[in-house]
Parts: sequence; C-alpha cells; structure tokens
Amino acid sequence: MQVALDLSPQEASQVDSGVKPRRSAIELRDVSKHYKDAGAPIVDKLTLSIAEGEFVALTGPSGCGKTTTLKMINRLIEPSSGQILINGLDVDDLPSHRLRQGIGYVIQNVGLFPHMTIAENVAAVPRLLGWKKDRTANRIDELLSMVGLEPSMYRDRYPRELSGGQAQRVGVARALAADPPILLMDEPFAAVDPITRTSLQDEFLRLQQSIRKTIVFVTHDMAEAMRLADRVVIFGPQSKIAQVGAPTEVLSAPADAFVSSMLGTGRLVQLLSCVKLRDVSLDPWPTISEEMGQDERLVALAEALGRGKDRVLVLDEAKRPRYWIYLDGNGESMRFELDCTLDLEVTSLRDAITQIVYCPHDCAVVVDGDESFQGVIDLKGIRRSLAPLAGSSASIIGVDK
Amino acid sequence: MSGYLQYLRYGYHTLISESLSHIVIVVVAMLVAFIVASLLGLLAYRRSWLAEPLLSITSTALTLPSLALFGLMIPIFGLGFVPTLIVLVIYAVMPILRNLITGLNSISPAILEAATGIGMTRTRRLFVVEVPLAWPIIVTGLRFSSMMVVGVAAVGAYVGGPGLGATLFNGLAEVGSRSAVPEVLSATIMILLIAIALDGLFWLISRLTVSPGIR
Ligand SMILES: Nc1ncnc2c1ncn2[C@@H]1O[C@H](COP(=O)(O)OP(=O)(O)O)[C@@H](O)[C@H]1O
Ligand SMILES: [Mg+2]
Repeated sequence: MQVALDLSPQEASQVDSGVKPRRSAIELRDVSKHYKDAGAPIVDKLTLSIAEGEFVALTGPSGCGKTTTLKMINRLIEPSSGQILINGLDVDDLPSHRLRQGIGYVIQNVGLFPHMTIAENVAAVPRLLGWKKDRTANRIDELLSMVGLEPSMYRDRYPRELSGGQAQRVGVARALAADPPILLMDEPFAAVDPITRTSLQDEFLRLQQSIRKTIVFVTHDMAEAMRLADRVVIFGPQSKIAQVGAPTEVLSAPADAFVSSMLGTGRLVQLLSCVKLRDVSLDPWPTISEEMGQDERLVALAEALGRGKDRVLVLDEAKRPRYWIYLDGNGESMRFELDCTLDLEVTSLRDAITQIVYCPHDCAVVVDGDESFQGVIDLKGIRRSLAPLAGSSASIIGVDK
Repeated sequence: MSGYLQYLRYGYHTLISESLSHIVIVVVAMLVAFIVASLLGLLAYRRSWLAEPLLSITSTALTLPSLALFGLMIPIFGLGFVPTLIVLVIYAVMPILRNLITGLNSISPAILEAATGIGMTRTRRLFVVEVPLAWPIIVTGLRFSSMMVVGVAAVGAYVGGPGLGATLFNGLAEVGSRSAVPEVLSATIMILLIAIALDGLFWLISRLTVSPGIR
C-alpha cells in the first residue's frame, strides 16, 4: 500500500492502539468557516461524526454551506477554526495532496480530463501513487465493469464522446480507482436528466452495497438525500444544523417547521422511497428445488394448497428463483415465468408497491444481492411493515391532506 | 523573364545560403523565445497578479515598428547576428506568451478542482492537466509567432543581420536596374516559401501533439 492510503482504517488502527468498534471514519469538531469580507460564518461550529461505512447526505437550501463543509474534509478549503479527523488522524498531519489521494472525490460537473481517454482518467490516481502498469490496467477494467461500462468499448474513448450519465459513471470510477475508504461527492447526479439520475442513483446504491465506503454526499435535493443516505444532515438557516437523522426518522418526525417546509408535500411517498425491503419483514413462500421430479412437485403443490397458496416457487441449487409452478385443471403441474423479482437491498417500498400493482401475482419475489431467494412481499405485508411508523405516517397523511 | 533566369544563374548561390541563414536565425529565435515565454508564463502562473500586465505588454509591444527597434539595437549591440536575434526574440515572445497565459487561464475551474481534489500537486497539475489542455492555443501562438518572425527577420538586414533581407534590401536600393526586380521577387518568394514550410511544420506538430480528445 502507498503512503497516501495511510488513511485506511486498518492502518490507522495500528497507529491508535485502542481499537474501538465502529469508530468514526470522519469527525468534525467545532468546525467553522468564515470569510473576512462576509459577515456571518458560512459554517458555524459544526460537530459531526460519521461512522465507517456510513452514507451521510448533507442537504439544505442552496448557499447554506454544504459544499464548503465537504471541501473542508479534503482541505480544498481550510477551516477557520475547529478540527477534522479522519480515522482518528488530524487532516493537517498529512500534506494535503497525500490526504486527497486517499479520499475519492466526485463533483457535479464531473471534471473529467478532456484530453485523457477514459482509461487514463480512471488511472489518474493510481498513476499519482505509482502503481505498476498492469495493476492499473486490470483495475481500470474492473472499475469500468463495476460502473456498467464495457471496458473494451469505453477504455479508449474520450470524455466528449460520452453522454452525461456515462461521464458521471466514469467520474465515480475515477474516484474509486485506488479503493479509498472515503468518498466525497458534491451533487454528483445533479447535471443529468431526471430519468438518468434515478438510474444512476439506483446503480450507485447497488454499488455501495458491495463496496461499503464511507460516503459524504452533498445534494440540495431532499428526495435524493432521503433515497440514498443512511443518515441525512439538514442544514438550516444561519449555518446551523436543523436536523440529523435517518431518513425515516426525519420524514416521520421533522424537527421543526423549517425541516417540514424543506421536505415539502409528499412525505409519505418519500418515506416509502427510503424504507428498503431489507428494513421490513418478508413473508415465507413454499419452494421446491429445481431438481425435484414431477411427483415431488405435485406433493409440494398439494401441501401449498393446504396452506392456502396456489403455487410453489422453484429454486435452483444456488437458491435462485427460477419459475412458478401451478396446478392446472388436469391435476398436472404447470410452469409460469417469474414476473417480478425485487432486490432486498435496493428496492424501496415505493418501488415495490409499483411493481406489485403491475404484477399479475399480486406479490413479488424478493432476492438478495446474490439473487438468492429471501421471501415474498405483497401489499398487505407492506402495510403491516409500515405499522411501526404508523403514528407518524398517519400524521403525515393527516398533514398532507 | 529571361532577365530573371539570368539573375538566378549567378544569384542562386547567394539565395540558397541566405535562405539557410534566414531559417537558422528564425529557428534559433523561436527556440529562445519559447524558453523565455515559458519562464515568463510560469512566473505569471505562480504570481497571478503578473498575468494582466504581461498580457497588455504583449499586445502593445507588437505595435512597435520593427525598424525602430533594430535601430535601437545598434548603439548597444552593434551590427550582425546578435542584435537581429534579440529583436526577433522580443517579437517572437509576445504571441507565444500571450497564448500561453490565455490558454492556461481558459481551463474550466471544474477540471482544475477535480485535479487538485484527486490529489495532484500544483506542479503535477500544471504539467499533466493544464499544459496539455492549453496546448492547442500554445501551438497556435507558436505558429503565429513563427510567421511573424520570418517576416521581421528580413528587416534584420538593416543591422547587418543574416538572411534574405540582404538580397531584398539590395534590390530595393537599386530600383530601376536590371537586377532589382529579380532580386526583390526571388527574396520575397523564398521568404514566402519558408513561411509556408514553417506553417506546415506547426500544423504537423499540432496534429501530432494535441490530444484527439480536445482537437
Ligand atoms: N471565497 C468566498 N468568499 C466569500 N464567500 C464565499 C466564498 N466562497 C463561498 N462563499 C459563500 O459561502 C456560502 C456557502 O457556499 P456553499 O458551501 O457553496 O453552499 P452550498 O454548497 O450549500 O450551496 C455561499 O453563500 C457563498 O456565497
Ligand atoms: Mg454546493
């Protein structure tokens, strides 16, 4: 590992022998920023601790100091006072370029280098770190595939030959190149059209499931913050934090009138958007292995019928759902293709509802990241899982009416 | 026409050697000017308050009549190669420096921020990102500068400098004589050919060195 990656958690914990579980990856202590010519501080005594692997969104009205806060973390802006620690180390302890080499950084206008090919852009940080050529080349291909760009097709293109969405993907790949433990993102999806934005958000969420970076994500779009983050920080007027909390907490119990007004109407829909299937309990469903013969299938179907289910889900050896079987009029088992399969980690209740409504089987099959079967969910199940939030969601509905 | 051919028969020797020395002084002047402009450009990059004054100097300096500048050199450097070279360098530096500063200033702040943000030092950023991005503009400056210098170099004959200026001035001095028109004409044609060759050279350089991503 290179010097710049001194910030990775393992190495930092060697420095600090008192190993604590789930230590904070980023810690801001009383951080302020004011410019001499301006009156009020832009960031005022901000204290915030971000855990390792946590996805935190900084959100609030334009000009409230989100970008300033983000840039103080990688020292593109120096704080006027206060202290910033990364994995327990003061950011001032390293030369600033070393610090930044260990932190992924993605900005709104992408900032790809137009004179470099996509491969060269992605290789920018590995080059700074002096990686060997073949290691870099392998990493480029790995990253491009990871962000959904076929390496052989995109490697040698130039940024101007990409669409906005593709450029943004390359921006993410470049930030991830040296596998930094921390990712700072400033309105990364703001410059693309809404449809592309949604799919970029989905892809990014899925990516985050596997890479588990500590992410600080700046956006003025509340819905985006709620959709993506584990925790949102809402900046209020006078650079004060208006509320910090998990999206569901904020949506179901806004701290004050300011936060309510920022959230706007449609809070229930947002709440549904940010509760993921992994947060709710799924229903079981009778299944049978693909290898089973006709007789076993009929037995399984009969048992299922006994439990009020008219069909059985067939799984392959890796427990991946393959198709449904039914009992047809002649007492034979009949095969039906799967209609909707939802991903446990990324599908929100809102998406689940939409899918289920259009699904001929009024319930959806839920799988995890490895596509293995986890259970099913239907509208009743969704309603039941909203019960814990019931008081609040009822009040949301009440307020919004 | 026959007079012209007759002139070429005894004059081609001079014409060729003067063309060669013309090319030499232009190339030397360009090389020195490129180095000087790069140093000044770097200075203006490090001290951004210098950029404005340098830019206005580069545009006003070009309006000086070259003959006057050559005249000013005589009391200091006498006659010959050196004073010519100095004047040529002064002229050549201006467009190069101008385009260097303009080119470096024209780069999108988002790109610069990205470069710093991923951990490039300032020097690294300059050579890996800024110069390559400004390069098309810099090469245009070099190309323009070289054209100008080829022309101004001819005036260098006024201070006894090398090049095609000698034949040109000769011809102009004896207007009316049989050799006047052929001399002026052939020197002019050679100057033009040198200019065209240099222009082609810089076109080639630009094709080969400007990234296809920004062409
Ligand atoms: N160099 C500066 N001098 C004075 N004020 C600045 C400077 N840079 C930014 N600001 C001000 O700081 C405020 C916060 O900016 P920023 O952090 O970019 O907000 P946000 O990202 O939340 O929209 C803005 O009102 C902006 O005008
Ligand atoms: Mg901003």
